[in-house]
Amino acid sequence: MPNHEKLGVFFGCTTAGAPHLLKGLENFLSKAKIECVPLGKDLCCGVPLTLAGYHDEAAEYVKKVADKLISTGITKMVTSCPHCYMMFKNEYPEEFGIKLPFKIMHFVEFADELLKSGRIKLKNRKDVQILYHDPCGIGRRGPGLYDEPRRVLEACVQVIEADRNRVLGTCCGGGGLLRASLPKLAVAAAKRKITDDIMPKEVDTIVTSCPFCTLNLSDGAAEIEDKELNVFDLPQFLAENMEAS
Amino acid sequence: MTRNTSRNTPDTSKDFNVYKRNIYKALKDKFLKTALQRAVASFRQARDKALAAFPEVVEKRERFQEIKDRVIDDLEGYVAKAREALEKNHAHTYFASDADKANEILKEIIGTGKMIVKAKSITSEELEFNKVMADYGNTVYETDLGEFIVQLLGERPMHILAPAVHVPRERVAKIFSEVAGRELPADPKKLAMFAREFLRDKYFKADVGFSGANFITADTGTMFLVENEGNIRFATNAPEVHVAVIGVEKLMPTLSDAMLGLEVLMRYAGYLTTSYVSMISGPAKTGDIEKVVVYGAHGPKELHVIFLDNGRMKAATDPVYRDMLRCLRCGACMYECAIYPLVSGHWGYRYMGGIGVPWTALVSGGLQKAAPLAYSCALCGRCKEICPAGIDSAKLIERLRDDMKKEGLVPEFISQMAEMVLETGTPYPKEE
Repeated sequence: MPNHEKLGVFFGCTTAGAPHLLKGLENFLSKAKIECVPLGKDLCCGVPLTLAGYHDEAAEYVKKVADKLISTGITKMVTSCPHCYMMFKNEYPEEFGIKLPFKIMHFVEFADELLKSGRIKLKNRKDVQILYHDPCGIGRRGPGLYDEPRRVLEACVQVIEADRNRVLGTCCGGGGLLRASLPKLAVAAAKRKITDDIMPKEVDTIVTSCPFCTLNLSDGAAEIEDKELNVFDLPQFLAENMEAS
Repeated sequence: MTRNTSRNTPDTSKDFNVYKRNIYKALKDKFLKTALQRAVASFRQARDKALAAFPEVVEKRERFQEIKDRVIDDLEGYVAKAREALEKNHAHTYFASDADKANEILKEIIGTGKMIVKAKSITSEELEFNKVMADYGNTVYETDLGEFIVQLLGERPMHILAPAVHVPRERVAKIFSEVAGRELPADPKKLAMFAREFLRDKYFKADVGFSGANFITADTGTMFLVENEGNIRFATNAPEVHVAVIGVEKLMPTLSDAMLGLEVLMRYAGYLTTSYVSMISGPAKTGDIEKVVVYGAHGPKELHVIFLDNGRMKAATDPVYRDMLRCLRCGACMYECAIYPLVSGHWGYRYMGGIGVPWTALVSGGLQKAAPLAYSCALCGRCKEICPAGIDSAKLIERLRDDMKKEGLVPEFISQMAEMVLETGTPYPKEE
């Protein structure tokens, strides 16, 4: 890492609120020996406000969030949640006129960079097949980060593609506040996605890059009786499959 | 947006709870699940096949969008042109600003004590056509097989193309047996044959045939009616009077533009071609005896076309909402949605699924009716990629949520969550 760079990692309220996701990201950072300012463990980016139409109230709120982030003096911020990512990257400048004075990256881009530069090394587990689920937030509703997570995962395991993927990937049902408004409907969507849509019989692991997708797909998987399925958020999965550096 | 709304959050929460119970009940419905699973699988196959056979349709859909945007820019102008063309063709034309106006006009034209055979039309759902006509002393027969089933069951359509998508064959057999007065087997072929036999003489006894249209052209006043069953041809041809209610967004500038729209519609709806496309521009006529024009040669003597606004013109003036008017009603977005196949038309009012949310809010139902529907979408944006008209329903729904906030229509638990973010900096309750 260049000397002048000061890295912030924005955990986000959903990752921070789920102990296994929080631990996964923390383990990744410590195993990769990443020095960073931990942010957003107790601070929401404000996306639930804009998704519920609270734009006027959000304007004041996001200003406070931005001030806090800026005061840390970071030069680059990594978010693990696609919602936070899109909020900081697009909504802050476009809707609220706040240009954050640091680079914003999603975790998939960050991990891809670390792997390329050799700062992390993944175990060779090519006998393992995983299915990658494209979160809409960094996919079709974002900048289309489809290759980055696949590159990272392919360095470690075999990546199996769903029948419909990338820009056409079926939604897990976890976004748009649906897990808050109609949780059973959200989980039913995840279950349907796994059973009807994506899951080749021999695959028992799904990896994705969004805490909402991870939680919702896990809940959906738990309702499938005849199959044991594991669902991982990318930081969690990498933390478990990293060579000690 | 202030149509049909009131500032009343408690009511919104009550509405939402009723809606939620209904959605959760639908989630447990095994028939529904099976029916939708089959429908989605066959739709996907059919559409993949149609797009592979006609790959140029992908480029055509872009041209279609440009043409439709031109129409949406000047709906009033195109309505005027189409009316002029139709009047020249000896059709009668009307403009209805809302559903009540349309119903007044329909009562005037149709009268009372009449038999009406009806083609499938969601636009007619906006008018509650069947109920209004029955209350006015008329008898209405739905002739589309799916609509016929739904009408007999006393339910409402659950998909725009396949209204009875939620009804398994066993239920159809049961209700048809009641009508027939004899036991009919749960065999789709035998059931379809029963409907054919039952409806056949209705077309010829009916006083009025009623339809919507998939397109209507401004240059020639030609309406396009796309179908497979053949019921629309009978219903619009056998009775002496044909009445059509057409949403103003169905306008296309020219005949060739409508042909382009037709190709896009068929392929994205999963058809290489449909069995029938009827093009109707005026009443039947003949001049075969001494060149004297006589109307009502074999087909209808009268054609009445009612252009329906009902909120569309206002939607057209909004930079976000206007896109909803491009909708071809191909149904692709519903089949490919992550949510719709779980609950079908229970996520909807008269218009269904994600695209149905803005249609409910702005055209048929109002903002309050649309509030729970707007919170049933995961905002994943996949329908935009699937839609031949490129409609980004998620964007429209986000905009609706903004309007709901302004009108005090946010469901209570969502407003509680927002308040919590503002107060504590996180949407999740803090653990003690």
